[in-house]
Formats: sequence, structure tokens, C-alpha cells
Amino acid sequence: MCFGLAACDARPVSTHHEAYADGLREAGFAELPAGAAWLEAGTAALDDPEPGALPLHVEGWFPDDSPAARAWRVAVTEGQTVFVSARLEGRSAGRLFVEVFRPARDTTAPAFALGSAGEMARVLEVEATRTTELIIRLQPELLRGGRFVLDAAADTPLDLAGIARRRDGRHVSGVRGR
Amino acid sequence: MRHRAALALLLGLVACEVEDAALSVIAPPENPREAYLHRIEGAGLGESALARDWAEHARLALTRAARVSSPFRETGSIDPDGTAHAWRLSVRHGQRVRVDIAVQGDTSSRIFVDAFRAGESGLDDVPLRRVPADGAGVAIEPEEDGEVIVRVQPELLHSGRLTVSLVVEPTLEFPVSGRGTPDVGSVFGDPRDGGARAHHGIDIFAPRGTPVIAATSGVVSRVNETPRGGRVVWLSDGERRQSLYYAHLDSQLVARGQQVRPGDTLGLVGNTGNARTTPPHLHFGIYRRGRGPVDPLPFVRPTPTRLAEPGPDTLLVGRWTRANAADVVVRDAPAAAGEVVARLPRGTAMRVVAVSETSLHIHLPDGTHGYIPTRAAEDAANPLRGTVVAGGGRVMAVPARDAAVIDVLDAGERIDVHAVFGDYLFVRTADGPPGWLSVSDS
Repeated sequence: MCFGLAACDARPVSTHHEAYADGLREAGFAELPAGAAWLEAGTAALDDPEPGALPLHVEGWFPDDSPAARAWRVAVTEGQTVFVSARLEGRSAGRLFVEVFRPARDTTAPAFALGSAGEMARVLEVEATRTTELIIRLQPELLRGGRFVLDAAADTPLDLAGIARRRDGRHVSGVRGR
Repeated sequence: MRHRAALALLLGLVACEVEDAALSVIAPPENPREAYLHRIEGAGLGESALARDWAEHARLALTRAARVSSPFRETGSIDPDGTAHAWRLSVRHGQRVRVDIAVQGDTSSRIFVDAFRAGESGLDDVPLRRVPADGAGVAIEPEEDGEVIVRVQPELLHSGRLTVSLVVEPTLEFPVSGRGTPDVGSVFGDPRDGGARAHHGIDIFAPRGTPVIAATSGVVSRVNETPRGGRVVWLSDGERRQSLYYAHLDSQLVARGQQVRPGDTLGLVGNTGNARTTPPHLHFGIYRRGRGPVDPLPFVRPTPTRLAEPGPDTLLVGRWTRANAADVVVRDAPAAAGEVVARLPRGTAMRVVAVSETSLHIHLPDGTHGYIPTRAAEDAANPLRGTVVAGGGRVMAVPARDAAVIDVLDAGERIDVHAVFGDYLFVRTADGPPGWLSVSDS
């Protein structure tokens, strides 16, 4: 399933993650330790993304009993179309929020969201309108975790079936120290 | 919505206001559980794992409810996913299950209490009522003999422990001051008048002049004298839609219309009416509106209420333990009468869900729930033994082939084994998360 969004300087998109976060606040969950930790994990990942490069392939694990999020920073060239695929697997798998951001020119401002998806497996397609860096963030919904697989590539549509075949678990990016 | 509005209007609980040509209706109060779910749905989280887990835990708890005997006390975990706990108890009509809950740790969570009984089409709700004596806890008063399921469930995203006490007790006070069940000389259903009729009450023998007391709060509805009952007092228990009948009194000390509270003296024991040839006693009867006489004994007979205080074993709640004997029997209830659901070899890993006086409620990694004697488990914090990892040992989130890999160990790495489950070892490395390593990788 494809989810196409063009980058836009002026109007960052409202993401599935933001809608979910708003729901947590509205339901009063944001005031509870686990809800606050989930929001904080998402912000912290975006503030300090891990270095990466396209094509990017990461496999890892999100615990289901403590909120976690991860993000990667990748360079893109003007005119490139970036395809991002991510999915969450495992017995307790649920929604995985996948987002692509571009850092704001003003480094004190929050990053702009360029695209998002909120299902278990999604492909995002983002067109880079200038040479810049993008941040890809993954975060499962509260109470959910499992093995995740992230693939991002420029200009080449991803082969989801091919990714699904590569499930030997040898490329784990563990959670030690995170 | 149309039906809800109509119902609200019928009940006279509706508040309407016209706003932008739209009619806004405030429906009758929801029960707290429904209101909580509506709040989650209203926040757009109706399809989230939060809402789904909460509903699933509520459902699962009912299917797993263990049969326990009163009095019973269990300390269990409050988990962020809203894990629910439930039990089955046998209750006579006239008895109630008193449910008292104490929360340790995060005390900000509300705890939802529900009661059910098996009906023709599944489980029917049983209404709850506040315990009138002190306003704390709730009581469940079924109107039929049978088994009641009590379920407690905390709100989502809270952590801690909760101790639930379940006590089956009479709904009414004993109606003769200073006396008890041993003084009951004739029970409900005994033949009377040569078998022409049945005894519609119990006879409680006591010295003449012993105070007869109000077994509940209510209004004195009748004070008169009849050939059979002699001097009688009728007390209307409006809350339970029943009338209490006190007969053969030596004297009546209340007037019609008088409001009384439990323990107030209504009269004195005697042998008036057709009891003139018997020793002084109170004939005590209960008449349900629309149903007639019912057996008063369960309404007044004292029951065991002693509960042990939670002990140090409650610290095991939420922790991983392991079987400390060669053949640990897991049953579906915290008693020897429970059915066997599993037998565990020594060292088997299990997570403690709750702790009662003599049992642990455990959850095995394959999803099996059950109860074992407390002495059959030990904390798995200390390692059983060490092992050396074979090449590329993968640590899994759960002991299953398709589980998520959470860590990859180096060949030759030495790790601690804390418990086992089937072909998997529950391991901890120096700096990684705990997880499961296939025996073939060790």
C-alpha cells in the first residue's frame, strides 16, 4: 500500500502520531507516567536521531512493556523520491507510526512532518524538494512492541515481498544502551 | 440515539437544550465502566491497543475466573494494560459478597468492580450496592442461590498492586440480641400442623424478655396481634423489596411507621400466639414482594470472615519465579480440589500474577494460567546456573520460534540461566534485556 505525500515547506502535515498523541492527551493518559513516557520517547528520538544513509535497512526490537521510539537521519538530494517501508512483527505487534520529517531551517524550531503512516506495515513516498536531511521516526503505539523492519531508499520503489522474505533476525539493531 | 432520548425522557432524567437547531440530550448516567470506555473512544482511541487490551483482559478474566471459597484475599498486579482479575464464589440468596479493595503504589487508578452470574444467554450482570455500614467497598447481593463471578479491573496505564478481599456474609443482622445460629431450633420448611403446612421461617430460642432487634434499617409497617403469631411486628426492608416478620413477642416496643436502624429493639422474646405451649422463642420470617416466604437462615447466619494479612510473598507479584520441585502441579483454582491444568518440571519459569494466603496465581510463557502452592516456587532473580553461548545465539522476547529477536549474543559469551521453559532458557546478560535463548544455541 502506498501513501504518497510531496514535501511542502509551508505546511507540515498532521501525522497519525500526532493524532494518537492528541488522543492520549484528550483521554487523560498523557498525565500518567506511561503516557508521558511515550510522548517523551517520541520527542527524544526526533531530537537526537541516529546517523544513517540511504539505502537504509534496520531491523530491531521495541519492547511492549516500556515506551520506546527510534529515529534516523539520512541525506537526500533535491528531486529524489524517498521510499520508506516499515513494519512491526511479533505476537504483540500493533500500530507502528512511521513518519518522515525534515529539520527546520531554524534549529530551535520543531522538525516538519512530510509524511506519516499509522498501520502495521506501510510504504511512504516522499519527494525531496531540496537537498537536505530527512529524519525517519518509528514508534509503536502504547502497549505494543515487537520486531521492526525499516527500509528506506531513494528513487527505487521497495519490494515489500522481498523484505518480508528477509526475516532471519540476523540484522538486529538491539536496544542496548538506548 | 432516538431510543436513548426516548428512554431518558421516560425516566425524567433528560436535560435538553436547543443549540443551532440541534437538540442536545444528556442521557441518564452511564455506569463508570461504560463512561471510561466512552472517554477512550471519544478521544479517538477506540481502535487502539489500549482499548482493545482493556476489553480483552476484561473478557479473559471472566473465562479464567477461579473458584474460591470465602473468605478469600488475593494481592495482584496493576499493569499498564489493565489486566483484570476475577473469581467465582458460591452465594446463597440472602448472602452478599463483600468486596474490599486496597491499592498499593499508584493509588490514583480507579478500580472497576463488576459482578456476573451464569444466565441462559451467557453472563448476566448482577447489580452492586455500596456496603451501607461504612461506605467503603461494594457488596453483591444476588437474588438467587448460585455462583457469582466478581471481576476487578484497574484503569489503563497504571502500575502497582491491589489487594482484593472477598467475604460472603449475611445481608441482615441476627434478629435476637446476644444469640446465634445454635439457638435456631426449627428451620424453614419443617412440617407444621401435622404436615398440612410448612414452617415459613426459623425459630430462635432465647429467654423470655431477650431483646428482638431490627435486622436491617427500614420502616415498621405493622404492629398487631394475631391468633397464630401472637404479638407481631412487621418491618419493611424497602431497599431489598422484602418484609421481615417477628412473631410470638412478649411485648412490642415500636409503633407503626417508625423508622428503625439495624440493632434497634423492636420488642422482647416471648411465646404468644400459637407458641403458648413452647418455650419462649422468636419466629422470624422473610417475605419477598411478589415471591412469598423465603428461607431466612442465609440472611442471618454468620459466616467465617477471618482473613490473613498479606504476607511477604506479595512481593513476588509481577516477578518471574521458577518451580522449585520436580513435579509442580498447576490447578485452575487455589485449592487442592481444582482441576490440574499443567505439571511443571523443576526450574520452569512462571510469572506471578497474584498471591493469596497459600497460593500463587501464575502465568506460564505459553499463556497457561493457574494456581500453585506458594512453597512450590522461588524467585528467579538468582541464576540457576551459567552457560556458554554457541555461535550467534539469539535472545527472543518470548520462548517461541517466531518471536521477536531482542538481542544477539557473541559465541562463547557466558550468560546466566534463571529458569527454563520447554526448549528455551530464560537468560540475562550483563547489559542486555532478559529474554529466551533456545537450548540449541547454548
